[in-house]
Amino acid sequence: MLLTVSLILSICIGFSISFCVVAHYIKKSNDYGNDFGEIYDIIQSSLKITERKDKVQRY
Amino acid sequence: MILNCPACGAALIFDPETGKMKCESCNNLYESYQLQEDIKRQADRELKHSPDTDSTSTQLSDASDSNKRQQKPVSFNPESSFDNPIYDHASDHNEQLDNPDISDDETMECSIYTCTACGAEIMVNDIEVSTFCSYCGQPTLIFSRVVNAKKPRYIIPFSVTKERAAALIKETFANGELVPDDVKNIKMDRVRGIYIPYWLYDIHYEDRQLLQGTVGSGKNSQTFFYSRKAECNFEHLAMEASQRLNDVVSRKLNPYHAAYMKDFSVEYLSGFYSDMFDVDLDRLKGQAILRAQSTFDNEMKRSVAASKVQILKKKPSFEITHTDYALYPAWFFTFRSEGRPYTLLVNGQTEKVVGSVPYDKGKAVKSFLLLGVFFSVIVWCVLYPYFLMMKPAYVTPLFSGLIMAIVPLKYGIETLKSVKSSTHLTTLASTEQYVKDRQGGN
Repeated sequence: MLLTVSLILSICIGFSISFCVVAHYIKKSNDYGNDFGEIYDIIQSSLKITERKDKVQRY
Repeated sequence: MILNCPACGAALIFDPETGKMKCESCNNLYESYQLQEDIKRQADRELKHSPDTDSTSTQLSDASDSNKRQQKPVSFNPESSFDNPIYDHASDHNEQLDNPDISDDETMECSIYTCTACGAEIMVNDIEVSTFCSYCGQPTLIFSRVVNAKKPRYIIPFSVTKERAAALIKETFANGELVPDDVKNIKMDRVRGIYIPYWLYDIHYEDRQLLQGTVGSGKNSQTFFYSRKAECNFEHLAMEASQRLNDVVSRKLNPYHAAYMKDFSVEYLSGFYSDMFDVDLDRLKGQAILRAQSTFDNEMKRSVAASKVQILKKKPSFEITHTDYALYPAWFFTFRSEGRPYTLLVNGQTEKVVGSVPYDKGKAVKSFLLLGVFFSVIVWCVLYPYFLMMKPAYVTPLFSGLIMAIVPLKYGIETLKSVKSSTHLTTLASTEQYVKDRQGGN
């Protein structure tokens, strides 16, 4: 019983990991340009935080 | 208008490698200032005889001409406010048109220009600014479109050559084990360098926000509140201004580095295709503000050293301080695989490749089965002794094991959905049409 349960569970986990790995590999090798790499260079140079209050327990 | 080489008279094109005008016949290079007189002379001549500015325009949707050819009577609409009742019929009163052979679906708006190199008639749609003659292959500029319509203020010239873009695509997909061999060695149907129109917005954005975040984990986690007041000047926030090109596809081409924009000059267009905008500035304002807001909010969240950060309150104010119109470059490569059209894009400034190619399903299934057996054996070697150790209380580890099986499966499904969505964008018929509806070139 224990052997059967552990076998079935191992197969489920093993094939699930395999599915995840293959899907990831398909995305990595067949699909490009999904990041909308945008305007972060703009905002990081001109963003000004004029007031900042951190870790206030009540508001 | 064609820009001619002062030495041999052949057509000049903009060379992305050198940033100068190049003659493909004698390989001479010219700076822009050396050609300004020739540009001015040709432009003046073209403006005198442009279909956009004079009454000699040949419009294929002119029902009166086709009716004359067919010599059929057309009934008169007494309510027409136009002198020519035929136009009125064609646009608003189809049922009254006595020529049922021509409907609105069978006509199209276009303009006819004459190629200054070979004299052939070039048919262009209402937004093309530069193209190629489909007879002699010479690059052609519709200069009157640039003058009469809103002229771009800026342009990012192509700095990636066609050969480099093709090499990038090959390099990108060459090493993929799951890319089919026929796709790795594919011959592109069409290669087009196209300048895409963009509206640029300068937005001053301010906000005062109250955020909430969690510090610590488990029993030691605490919720804190954070307040921020910030302002940001977004410069040249680019919104694509072409109806025919899918917005998600064009967004994926980002980023373009606006710092390298140049003042627009018509010779940059020579050797490439380009369109005018056909989406109004006002229509994209809302989207530009939303994009600025989304970027601003993300930066506010990143400034908080906590997890699960949420914005509880905000009071944004914004102002669009300036707008401009620019052209940005992209290479479009189309090919067919298993009957489906694929269009891959390369950012003509940053070399970013955008697109998704098909994968070899047979290899994917084989890899899945082999890896499945391998991982199953490894997991069993760890799990069985653990269950023996935990016996008889192995129910909890059993449930943990099931969760361990579900999590990677869920991630795999999300990943494949994302690949499917990218593939759908790459195979959009509208993107293929955006590239196909251009004559000449290669």
